[in-house]
Order: sequence, then structure tokens, then C-alpha cells
Amino acid sequence: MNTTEHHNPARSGVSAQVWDRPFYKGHKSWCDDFVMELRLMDVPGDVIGDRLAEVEAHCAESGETPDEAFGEPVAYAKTVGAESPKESAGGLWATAALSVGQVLALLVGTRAAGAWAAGESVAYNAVQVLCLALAAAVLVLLPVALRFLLQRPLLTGLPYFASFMALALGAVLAGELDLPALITAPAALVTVGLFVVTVVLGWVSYRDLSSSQDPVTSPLSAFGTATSAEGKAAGGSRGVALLMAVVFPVFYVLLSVVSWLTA
Amino acid sequence: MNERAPNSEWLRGVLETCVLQTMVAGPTYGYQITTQLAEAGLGELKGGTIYPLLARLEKKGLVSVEWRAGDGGPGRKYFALTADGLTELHEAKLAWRAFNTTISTHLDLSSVQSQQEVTS
Repeated sequence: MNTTEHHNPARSGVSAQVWDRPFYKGHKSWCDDFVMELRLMDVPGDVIGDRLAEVEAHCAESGETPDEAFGEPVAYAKTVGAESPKESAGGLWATAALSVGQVLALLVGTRAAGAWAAGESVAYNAVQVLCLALAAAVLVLLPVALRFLLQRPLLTGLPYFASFMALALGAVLAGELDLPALITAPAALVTVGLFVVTVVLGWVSYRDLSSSQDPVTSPLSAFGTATSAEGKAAGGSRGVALLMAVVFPVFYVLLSVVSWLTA
Repeated sequence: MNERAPNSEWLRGVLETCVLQTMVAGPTYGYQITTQLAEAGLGELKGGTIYPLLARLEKKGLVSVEWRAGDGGPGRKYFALTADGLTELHEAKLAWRAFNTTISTHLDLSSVQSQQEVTS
């Protein structure tokens, strides 16, 4: 016997994902809360699957429900998660940094297109720079805010996105203020340069999203009791990765055209 | 025999050792461990208590784990003592014996009649 076996799901020929197991479907609410808490604690997918398989196997033997044997799911996840290996939270921060870069490039670059059409250079006053910096800070803090956003989507989500939108809008409207320019740059260079940045960041985020899937796999699937839906799920998430990669460059072009035509 | 359920405060300190002891005869799985501990008179231990403890033992390298197909069930995660686990168990037993002697001496247990002696 060795330490925890990381079996190869492909070998078993059935879906290794926990969502396809009848146990998960039968105790969905408990399992969802349990998995989400462990995800928030940065426990890797295969370890989450292992912890959930312990619950399933134990309940099958004892005839208890997860609630009876393990108590409240979030509290149990905190206890067992504290004893589980963690992956670095770097992935989440890298994703947040990528989106900040993409959003800022979108905000600044598409406005530069308007200035380019009008034959002016891009100029930002101190208030605009401050608004952009604060908007970036709100986005960068997404990994910290995530737990609250998931637990109270309306209560925290609305103020969170409203504050971001207000700051982004403030960055545009503050241009009307009669203040000296803090930063000035050639509009054509900014428009084209930031489009290249957007495409590169889109490609990086596609590469990251499609390589770091970290699915929640069950070791129990090696014994072949689940139904297959793996191909569909993997294909679906690759589609999401592709969408995330192209959405910023596409919006960049559309908004630049609007900005150009209305200049 | 004293029918009083084991004091959970006392048990907490030695539960790890008691769980390691269930693996001396060979690899065993979570539900069987709870059954064995209940039969030993340690009371009904819930899955929510046993599995975090087993995860801690695994993290410390005191046990190794392996998933195997179960009898009619979905599968079983077997836990086995490692060499470090065996050493730890031995040392914990020595420590418990010393602690037990200290407390028994302090409580002057030799002067206390057992329940059987009281009723007869």
C-alpha cells in the first residue's frame, strides 16, 4: 500500500466526475455545500472527490445520511479541509490579474479610438487615473470577495459590481473636468497597442483555463458504478475557456468602432 | 464493568492512539473502525469525527491509504499502519501507561472499591 492513489479516470472508461454519481444526485444540497467550501479552501479537485467518496462509502455502510453521520456540510468541510493538502491560490490571483489587465485595456484602448478619430492624443487627468486605479483594485480583490459573492450574490454582488461600474464611468466622465492632463499619449499607438495586449491576455487566459480544469473526480468511479457524461462536461468547459478568451478582443473592436463613429 | 459512557474530554486525547490500534491486525476502513471502537466500549463515534482524524494520520505519514472495491457497496478506503505509525503507536502506549500510573497514584485508586464490591 502506498499513499493516496491518484487513479487514472480514463482507464475506467466511465465518468470520474462526482456530479454523475447517484449519491451526489441523491444528496445534492449537502454535497454542493461541502464541495464549494473545500473549493474555497483551495483543496484540489481529486482530494475533494476523495473526501466525498469517504462520505459516500461510509453512508453506504452505516445506512446514515451525510447529515446524520457528518453533520452540517460547511462545518465538516472546514474540519476535514484543514487536514487536506492544498494547492496554491496563485491560479485565482493570476486569473484576477488577467481580467484586470483586459478590463483596463478595454476601457482605455476603446476611448483612445475616439481620440484617434478626432485627431487628438489620449489624455488622462488625475481624477481619471485615480478612478481607473480604484476600479482595478476592486477587480484585483475578486479572489478575496469571491466567498462573499458566492454566499450572498445579491447582497454583496450588486454593491461590488455597482462600485466597479461607478468607478469605470467616473474615469470616463472625469475627462470633462477642467483639470491638467497627468498622462498624454498618441491615440493611434494606444488603440493598436492595447488591442495587441488584449489579444495576448485573451490567449493566456485561454491557455490557463483549458489546462487547469482540476475536475472533482471520485476514486469510486474506478469500480465502475457511474454513468458517462465526461466528454460532454470537458467539451463544455473548453468552450467556456474559448469564449472567455475571445470576448475581450471582440468587445474591444466593437467598442472602438462605436467610439470612432461617435467621435 | 462501569456502564458510564467514556468521557469525551478524556477520549479526545487518546482517540488517535485508539484508532491506530484498530489497524494493528491489518488494513481496515472507516466504518469498521467506528464499529470496532464502539465494541471496545468507546461509544458511538460519528463519521464526522473519524475521517478528519484519519486524514490527519495520513498527513503525518502514520497511515497509508488504498481504495478497494467494497462488498456490494461503492468501495472502501483502507487504512494501514506505516512504519512511522507503528513507532508512534508504541510510543503513545508507553506515554499512556506512564500517564495512567501517575493519575491512578494521585487519585489513590487502590483505596476505591469497584462497583461490584460495593453492591456485594
